[in-house]
Amino acid sequence: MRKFGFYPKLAARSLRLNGKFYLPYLLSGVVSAAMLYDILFLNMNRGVYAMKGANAVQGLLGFGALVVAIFSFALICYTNGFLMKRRQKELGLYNILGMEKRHMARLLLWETVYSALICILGGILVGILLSKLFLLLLCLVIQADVVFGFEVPAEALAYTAAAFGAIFLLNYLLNLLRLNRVKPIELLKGTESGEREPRTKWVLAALGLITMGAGYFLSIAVSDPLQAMMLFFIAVLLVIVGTYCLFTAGSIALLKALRKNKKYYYQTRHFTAISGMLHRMKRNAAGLATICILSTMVLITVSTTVCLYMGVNDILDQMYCRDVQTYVNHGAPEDLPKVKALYERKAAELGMEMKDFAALCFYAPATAYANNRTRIDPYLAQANGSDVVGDPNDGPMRVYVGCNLPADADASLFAASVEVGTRDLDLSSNWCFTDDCRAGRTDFWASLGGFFFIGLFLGALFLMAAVLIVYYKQISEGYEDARSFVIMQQVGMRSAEVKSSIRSQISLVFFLPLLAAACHTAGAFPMTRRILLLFGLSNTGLFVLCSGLTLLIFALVYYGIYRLTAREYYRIVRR
Amino acid sequence: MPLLEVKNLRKVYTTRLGGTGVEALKNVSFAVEAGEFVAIMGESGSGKTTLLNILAALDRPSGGRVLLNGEDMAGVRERDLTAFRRDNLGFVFQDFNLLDAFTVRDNIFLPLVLAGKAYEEMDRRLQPLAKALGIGDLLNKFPYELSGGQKQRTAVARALITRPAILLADEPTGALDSKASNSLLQNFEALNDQGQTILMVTHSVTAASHAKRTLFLRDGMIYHQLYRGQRTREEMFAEISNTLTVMTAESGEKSHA
Repeated sequence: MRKFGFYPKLAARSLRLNGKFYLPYLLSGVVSAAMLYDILFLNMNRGVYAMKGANAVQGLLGFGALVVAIFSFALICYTNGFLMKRRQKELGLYNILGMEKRHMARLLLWETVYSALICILGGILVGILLSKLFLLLLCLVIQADVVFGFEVPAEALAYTAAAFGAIFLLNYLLNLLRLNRVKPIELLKGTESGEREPRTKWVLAALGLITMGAGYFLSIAVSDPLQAMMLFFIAVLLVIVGTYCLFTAGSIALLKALRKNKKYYYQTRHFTAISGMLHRMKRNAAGLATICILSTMVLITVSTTVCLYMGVNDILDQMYCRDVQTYVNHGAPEDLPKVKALYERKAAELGMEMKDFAALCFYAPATAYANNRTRIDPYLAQANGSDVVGDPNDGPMRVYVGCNLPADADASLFAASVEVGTRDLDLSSNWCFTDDCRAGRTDFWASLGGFFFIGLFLGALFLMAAVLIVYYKQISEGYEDARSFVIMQQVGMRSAEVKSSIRSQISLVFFLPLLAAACHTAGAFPMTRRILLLFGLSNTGLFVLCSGLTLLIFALVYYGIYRLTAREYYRIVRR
Repeated sequence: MPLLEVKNLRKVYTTRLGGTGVEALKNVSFAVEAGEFVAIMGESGSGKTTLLNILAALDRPSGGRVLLNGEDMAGVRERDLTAFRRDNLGFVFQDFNLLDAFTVRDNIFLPLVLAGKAYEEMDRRLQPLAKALGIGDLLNKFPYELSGGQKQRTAVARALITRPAILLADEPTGALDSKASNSLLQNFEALNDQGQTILMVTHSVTAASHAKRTLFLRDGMIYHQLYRGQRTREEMFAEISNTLTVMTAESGEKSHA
């Protein structure tokens, strides 16, 4: 009689034995669970609720949580598929030794239970440990007061556990499906059967060129920021499709062309690299394209949010020049004295002293940027005593009145009473609005800080995914290539040549996606710059700097991963 | 001067913990003249593989010497060994060891590419070789499209394209059916007729009967040798079978004694 506990033990043992593959899998599971918990924690934290500008931040955090959950699902599915493929041989052996499929299903169930427990418990533990840090970080970036106390919201715990439980359950079902499809003899053979050389798919290559070109064209050609915002996702979609097509079809076409060039091809370094790449490009291309797109996502998300955050003072100066301000768009010069008088009356009523009083009419384009606010100081400087500034050809007339208040004065009370007052003024345009700029600034800091925070958070997640995919890709290829390198050493390849050939192959695999990602980021630059204009950020130099720095840091991290995986790969091949 | 000379070759494997060593080869001596086709027979454990590994410079002997063209292989420095092997020895393996990622042509070119030869030179060498081995039409195919015999002939072409002094074959017919085996062995004989020296390690009496000389290895020593001389293949086959029967019977008696 079999003792109870045979399968749990066997499952634990096989997890340990396959540690090299399972460790990164479990680690990434733990990290993504921790990230999900933390973002939920911030979303549900009472301290964050009480912050100024909390609404904007809460919305962003909710969105972020959704992205983290979906992304964790995709990531765990991908790595799980990889792991199952690697273990086919082992399962085939169990099958031949007399383990039926339902027994294997039980084995897999226990493995899934262990993995899920490790990821959920470990993730929540790490998440709880890091939650305070993230809270402080959030307070810092949105310039809110630090929230004291330590809480573990039960809802966040429940959501995290439920989400990851569902992810692992689904993976288990997928594994059962896989198990049902295979025959033992195939299980034993695993991945070793020879693969047909891919044919060049010209249609796909052309499609890739067209979609990619269209995406780039949209980015460059659309000049209106609002339109750019709307078309951005279409452009992203086009470029993603184009990237997949070009990586699958284009890479094969390119490699075949290289192979045709006999002088180039028949050199020790290129010979093995090109044929090896060509041989497995069919499976490789999708992985490379995914890495490329993830890298692009990291680069664009991080560079834009960092840039917005760095430029926040710039934006605020433009949007909120005074503590309280009133705009009349499409106004007329006769509106100016009315609003001026209103300000003076309200100041007297409320007993507040107005400072830096500014009032003038100017011609400026009506834009959607920064919610129709314009940097006022240049116009003030031109005013030189007159009430009307600018060239009527620039756009409609806008009337501006604004002032600063003493630090202890209640700006929102003043703004509210001005706002009410303007309704009875009988102005020449209905498009009149009054800002409480102190509150506006706080809100803006909160939402931009929220953006910044989410940008870095998701950037880290995408980066982790890219790292994981790269790692697994290299490891699996290492095992496939080990036999080839043994043969090549038998027919006379020196170990130094083995090393350099590996280096050339790996660096191609690594730096191709990075190069393409940098190219995409550059291609998206005109569009993202225009979208930043919507937020009132017009400092292109700053954006260039942020993008460049992000790319540099990303490339450094990427290079570190490259070194690590290359070493691992070499260790596998050298056996 | 013989092409290959093996003098008092010994190989002792010691376990890592130092205990008593296992003597895989005890005092093996023989010589191979240029243009010979020699088969080495023996049961598993007789020392065949060890001998071949030492001849291939993949392993170092514990005692004795191996001279190739009068040059002591022990004198070749470790980092020159790969090049030495590539330039002097051609290998054929039981399971072909072709690379799936390469076409037949590129598989054959591989050692030359590693040696840094120009494409024109490689192509010039390939043409007659491919014709002789009957794989001229297969050059653009991939290994998975070939039969076992075709794969092994490709492997032979790869071994010979460097124009090695000796072709070393390790159970070349081990994974082939009888028809493919025969055609490969005929290829070997034809190559040998053109002057190629061949040293083949095998289990198969059929394979050995194609050789001009057969050495029998038992328990790490040369037990006997047979020259084919003017005998037909059938006569040679019978002779080798008899020798094997006697050899096996003797070792049976020994173990009972």
